[in-house]
Amino acid sequence: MRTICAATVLTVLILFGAAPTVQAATLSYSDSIPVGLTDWSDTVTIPQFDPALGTLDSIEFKLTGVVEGLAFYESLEPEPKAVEMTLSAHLSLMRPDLSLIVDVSPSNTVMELAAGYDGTEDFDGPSGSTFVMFSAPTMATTVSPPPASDLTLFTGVGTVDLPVTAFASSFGSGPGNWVFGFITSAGADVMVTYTYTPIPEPATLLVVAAGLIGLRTRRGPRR
Amino acid sequence: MMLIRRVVFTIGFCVCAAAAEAAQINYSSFLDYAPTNSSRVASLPKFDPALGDLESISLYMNGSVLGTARYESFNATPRTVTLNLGAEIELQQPDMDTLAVSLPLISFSDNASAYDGVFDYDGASGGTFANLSASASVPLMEIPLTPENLAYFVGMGTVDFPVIARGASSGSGGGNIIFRFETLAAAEVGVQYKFREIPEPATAALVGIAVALARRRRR
Repeated sequence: MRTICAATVLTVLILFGAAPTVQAATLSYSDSIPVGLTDWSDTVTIPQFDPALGTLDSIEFKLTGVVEGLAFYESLEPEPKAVEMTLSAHLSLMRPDLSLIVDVSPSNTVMELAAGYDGTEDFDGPSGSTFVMFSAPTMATTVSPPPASDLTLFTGVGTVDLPVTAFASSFGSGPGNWVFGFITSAGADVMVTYTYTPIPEPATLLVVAAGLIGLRTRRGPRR
Repeated sequence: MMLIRRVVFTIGFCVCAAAAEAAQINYSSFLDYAPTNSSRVASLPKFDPALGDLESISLYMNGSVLGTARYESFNATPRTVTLNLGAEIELQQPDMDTLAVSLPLISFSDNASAYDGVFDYDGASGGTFANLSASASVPLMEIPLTPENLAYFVGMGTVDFPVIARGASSGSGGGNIIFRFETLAAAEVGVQYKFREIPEPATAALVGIAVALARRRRR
């Protein structure tokens, strides 16, 4: 009777999903590099995945980059001319061995019709402008493995320092007689999300054990 | 006598044939260097119909740029700087339709060190490149001998071709940098008329005598 009861409980638990099935879980960490004058190289520090929590299955890396700064010009042409200026930077998140994980290129472009030269080279007035420019956050993600070595690199009880670089590539195009330039800064946010299979909880283990004991009792010595 | 007539006629015919050979005459107009974004006119002589029968009209253009490109890098690290100095030189018909476009362009790169602390378009982090020049030719284009075109090109006087020069410069080299461009443009426009000459009077007279002799024999 006792055996039938234990087996029945275990069966019911399995049928209604309360049995010891283990679902994947996630854990996220983030770090950032504030907006600074390009070009720069820096690092973000990300805690490793603690193996006591379970088995690391995959890692998602998310890099969000922004670019901001100034674009300025003065047209020296006698007639109105179109100018186009783009503030841009390339940000890269890398492993400690400098292999690339993921990269983004935030940018912002402004176009304007400059009037004929107003006589003053001040990046202002009818024939000049100074633009304060910001880019929308630009994001890119990637998931590993591959490579499988990332699971080893990011498992442990310490931290991992990931290099991040920002190289600007602003550019302008316009008439044959003009002055233009840029001041470019960039910043980055990094988020690392671990997906893992947790170690089952103690209460769950007891349910499993009870079921196994019940089954074993039934198989007790035959008289 | 018959032999003499035949000889005179033959000589006259050959001379006329030789005198009606194809000929060509070329004219060109040079527009000297001037700041870009200018509109000027290249004037070329029309074809004088007294020269003969016009068979073809061809045009060509050589466009050139001359200028100075400067930069100063304020980057904290060495960077490669790219500079492009050029122009779009457009040759138009008298009615302002585009005939041809020349795109002379100078494009080059320079290695800039980290900012040297002095904003002078010079030193380790800057550069001034003067007397940059480039040319681009538009090959000979044949102009259709439509009544409209013949009205432009045939007669006495000149035909005027608008020439528009638009400067085009650009630069890149990191995120903290300043550029300065100064550009001049020039153009040479030329026309070639091919025609068959009208025979000279003495030659025509020779032919006339031969024809007259031939007619007299038939009476």
